[in-house]
Formats: sequence, structure tokens, C-alpha cells
Amino acid sequence: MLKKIITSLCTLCILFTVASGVLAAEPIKIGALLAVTGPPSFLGDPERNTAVMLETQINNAGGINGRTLKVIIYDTQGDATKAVQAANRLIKDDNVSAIIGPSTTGETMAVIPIVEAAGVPLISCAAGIKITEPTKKWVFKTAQNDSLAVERIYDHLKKRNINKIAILTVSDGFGSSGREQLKLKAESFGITIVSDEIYGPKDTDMTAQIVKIRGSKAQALICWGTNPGPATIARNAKQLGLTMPLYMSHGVSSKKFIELAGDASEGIILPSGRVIVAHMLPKSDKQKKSLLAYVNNYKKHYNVGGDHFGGHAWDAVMLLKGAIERGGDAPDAIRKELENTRNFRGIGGIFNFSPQDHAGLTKDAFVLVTIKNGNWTLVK
Amino acid sequence: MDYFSELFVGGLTRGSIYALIALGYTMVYGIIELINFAHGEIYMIGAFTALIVASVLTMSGMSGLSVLVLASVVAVIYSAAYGFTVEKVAYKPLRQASRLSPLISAIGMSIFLQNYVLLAQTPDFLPFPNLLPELTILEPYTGLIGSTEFIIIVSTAVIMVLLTLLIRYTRMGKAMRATAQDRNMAMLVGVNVNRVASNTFIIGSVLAAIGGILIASHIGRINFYIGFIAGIKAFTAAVLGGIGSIPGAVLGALVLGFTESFGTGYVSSDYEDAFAFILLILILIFKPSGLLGHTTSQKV
Repeated sequence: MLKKIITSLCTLCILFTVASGVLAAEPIKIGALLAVTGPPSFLGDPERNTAVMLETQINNAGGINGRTLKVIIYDTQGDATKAVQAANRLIKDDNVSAIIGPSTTGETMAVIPIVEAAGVPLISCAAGIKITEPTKKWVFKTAQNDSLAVERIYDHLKKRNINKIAILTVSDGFGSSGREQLKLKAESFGITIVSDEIYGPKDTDMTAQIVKIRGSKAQALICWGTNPGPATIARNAKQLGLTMPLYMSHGVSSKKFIELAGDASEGIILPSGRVIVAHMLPKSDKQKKSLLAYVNNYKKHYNVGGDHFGGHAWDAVMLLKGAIERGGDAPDAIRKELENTRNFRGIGGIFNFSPQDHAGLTKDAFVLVTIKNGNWTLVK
Repeated sequence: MDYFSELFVGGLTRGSIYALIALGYTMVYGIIELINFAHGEIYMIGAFTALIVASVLTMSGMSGLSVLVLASVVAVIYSAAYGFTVEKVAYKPLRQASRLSPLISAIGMSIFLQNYVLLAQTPDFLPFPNLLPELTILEPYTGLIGSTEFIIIVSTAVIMVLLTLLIRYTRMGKAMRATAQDRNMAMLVGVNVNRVASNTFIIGSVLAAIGGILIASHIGRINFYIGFIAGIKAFTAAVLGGIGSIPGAVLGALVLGFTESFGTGYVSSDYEDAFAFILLILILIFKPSGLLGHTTSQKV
């Protein structure tokens, strides 16, 4: 009896596959390498959610040029080795036309040689400036460069007549890249770094560093790290009664930071993509429509508002959609059409790609926000 | 307030935090010669339990001291139950095995508990409310030391004294010392060694839970991994001070805390961890049994 049921089920399955194969054309396949679990899951989780949401949305609206879109997602756990294995699998077994991700700079750098050799377009969701500088033929990215965030902060410091600063960066890839940019750009803005301290990604107490910074001549402190370190720094600074203004990086522009730092987050200033302040933007803002659509849509699916990091995946998927609509899904055509993308109003900013520029953003991609009464506010 | 005293207070706070966990490590080792790697996990479970209870109580309208007391009581009891069970499941069956087996079993227990909390709770960081009261006497010293840090330092000192008294002067302490000296002989004179081991683990877990509440209140966030991280430094401190010695654990932890704080303050934060471990290596070269450790003569 059981055997019969199984046999008939199998038959049904085969029938359905054949039937659907007849009905629709071959789907367009794109791959995604995202750190859904592991330490950078705060990046990969919203990115995965966004990609899944867009897949359904695009297919419900009739797909791309009448063909369904299929997003094949592999979890890299933030591990470069796993990212490389998954990239090979996407290219060789799944035959994808393009890849979005990985979520972090380290993984992206590891995957670049593979996509370059295979000739498959990659749109990374990571921020490191090394990804697209120097420009690589097949590699694009949607996350804003660290250097743009640094420029935003330095602009603001200049406006406030602050020229002596302290920096406190985390000793991982994100922090050292930020530290490099902070040092590199300081001179051109007439800013001197009088105290340069670091902390470990797992440290739970940074009072010694803050005491040292307070003893220096710094007029402001810039901290560069991702959760949870900066939350501890904010709390330590409050506990020690640090009076100088505190700036953070875009690495903490998610609600989690306010949650972890609590009261101590009040008054902290940081550069962020526009997404967390979408509803506060003036009507004239060119991105406002995309941003509100994304935030509300995400909220409908996942009960929380879409964030900065999920936005990187939104941009990547939608950029691919545009390129495929215009030029078809052959990898080389996708690459050409991506380079021809102008004025794409995305979540991370307004993208203008060219054969020389595969990052496509200017420092206008960032706005400065501050935390007031446990929520984000635009800095005028 | 001058630079030196700021760094001093910073180092003292750091050291006391390490000491809170190191005390539990060293006590278990001193009595049953087992490095309980799962100790950090019990600390983490204590903090999670306190968070859950505190959230429920706060939602039902309670506040202040009553939340702290109730959350602490539940966390302490729950952690003690964990400690008791861990000993029965992972260590007791290995009492007669070679010394390596319980060590591996301890590491296994630690990994198991981490992943259990990861699956049962969340992989993400959770904000931990400050359950400790604000002390008004400290107001003139704002900027130097907060209430939470002050309470941590005082608690560490009190726990150290109580633990020493317990082991030196009570009946249970006497049984513990007898077991530590010679387990077989202790059994011969009628000491219930199994009960001594259970008691040791229960006391160790109570310490871990208290540490969990105090430290989580200071740091303000917890996740399943905090026990492992706290464990590394605490274990270093216990070895530094001479593993098995209770004042040694506190001394080792303070030395570690001060080295990190002054190293960062006067030299550079780039080498914060390097300072701590260079010191450890130096001390172990010149005094292999740690600062206050006893050099036990080889048993025949």
C-alpha cells in the first residue's frame, strides 16, 4: 500500500515538472552568497530576507521579460573558504548568470579571482574600498565605500571647527580599513589625529582607551566598529563622563545599536545610508520613493523595517533586474548593461556605474544622523 | 581626577570582573583537581536566566530592588541546578578515569551548553538592563567610578573573604580540604566524597551566577558566547595567581587587570592582550606554580 502511494506521488511529481517545463521558459538564475548565520549574520540575514522578498515580488509581477527569476542562496557564515566553495558551486553546478554578495569584504576578496576567471558578474554587498579599486572587469559593489563615510564625518567636523581628533578602531577588517581611511583623509581636511587607539572585537571594557583619549588634546572621538563593541564604548564614555562629541561609523547604523547602547547612545553622530531616516527626508529627495517602498514592503513581510544592510541586497538584485531587462541574461551582456547604468535610484544611493567606476556612488550616498530619544534624526 | 587614578580604577574594575569568574575556576580545581571548562557557560546561563526573569517581572510592573533580588535568586538556583547536573552527567562517571578524560568531557560540556543556548535563545546580542541600584554616596566621584563598578569591586572582595572562611572554618570546608589532600584517605575516614564534589560544583555555580548578573549589568549585553570569552581571561588569571588558591585567583585577576589598563594608558592599546600574556609567561617561567600557588611535593 505504502509503496503504491509513493509510486503515485513520484509519478505526480514528474508529471508536474514536465508540465511546468512546458509552460514557462527557462528561469533566469542568479546566485547569492550571504552570511546568513555566523558572526556577520547582522548583514547576511536582512540581505537574504530582501533577496527572497524581491524574488517573489518580481515573479508575481510577471518575472523579467516574461521569464521567472530564481535566486539560489548559499550561506557562507562569514567564512572565506565557504564563500569560495559556494561560488564554485554556483558557477559550475547551478550555471548562474550573475552573483550577488558576499556580505563581507574578506569573503569578497576571496571570491574575486573565481568570478574573474569564470567571467560571471559579481555585485558585492561589502564596503571595503579594495573591492572595486582598482577596477576589476567583473566585480561591482553596492555598499558605500568607507572613504565616503570618512569624508562625511570630516566635513561635519570642519563645520564645527574641530581639528584635533582621537580615533578608536576595532582590530578587524572593518576597523583597520576605516583606520586607514581616517588617517589618509585627515590631512586634506586639515585635521590632526592626536590619539590613535584600538580595541579587540571581543573586548568588553574600553575604559582604559577612553581615559587615555580624554587625557589627550582631542576635541572629538571617532569610533570605527560594528556591533557590539561600539555600544560598549558608548556606555564606557557615558560612565566616565566623556564630554567631547562622539562619532561612529556606518557599521552601527541599525536599530540594534540603539538597543544595546541604551541611554548612552543619545547624541552620537554617524554617517548612514538614507534608509533608516527615509520618512524624514524632504519630498525633493530623489531616493525617497524607493526607500519608502522598500521599508514598508520589508515591514509587511518580516515585521521590522528594512535596514541599511538589507538595502545593499535590494540594490544588487534591482541593478541586475534592470541590466537583464535591457540586455538579456548572458553574463557578458549583464556586465555591459551594469556599466551603462545611470541614475539608478537605489537604497544605498544614486548609482552611476561606468567602465572605470564599479562602485558608482558619491559621498552624497551618506547622510549624517544622530540619536535623539532612542531614535534616528537627521543632522542638518 | 588625575590620569593615574583613573587608570587605577579602570584596572581595578577589570581585575574584579576577571576575579569573579576566576574564583569559581580555582575553587573547583583546588578541591577536585579538575579544570571545569563549563564554568564560563554556567556564568552565561546565570546571566540569561536573570535577564528572562527580570524582563518578565518588569513587564508585570515590578521595579528596582525587588526585580534584582528575585532575578538573582532564580538565576542562582537555576545555575546551581545546572552545576549539579553537569557534575553528575559529565564528571562523576569519570572520577576513576585518567586525568585527561574529564578535561575532554569538560570541553564537550562547554560546547554543548553554548550551542544549546544558541538554539534555545538567539545567536544575536541581547541588551541587558542594569539591575543594580544607583548609589547616591558615589555622586562626588562621577566620572571616576560608577555604582555598578563599585558594587562589582566590593562583591568580589566579599565573596573572596566568605569563600576563604567557608573552606577554612566550616564542616563542609573541612571535608573539602580533606578531599583535596587525599581523596582515598578522606573516603576511609568517612567523608562522602561524592557529596563534597556536588557541593563544590553547586558553590562554584552560585558564584558564576552572581558574576553573571553583576558583569552583564556592567557590560549591558549578553549572548551565548560571553561565557567562553570571560572564561579565557579568568582562567589566565587563575593560573597566574596559582590555580587552586583562592586569594591567588583574585591577586592574579587584579595583576591582569592592572597590566592591561596601565599598558593601554601608558604605552599603547595595540598591545593590550600582548602585555597580559607576556606577563603570564614571565611569571610561569620564574614561578611555575603561579604567584600564590603551592609547590606540592610529588606524591609517592
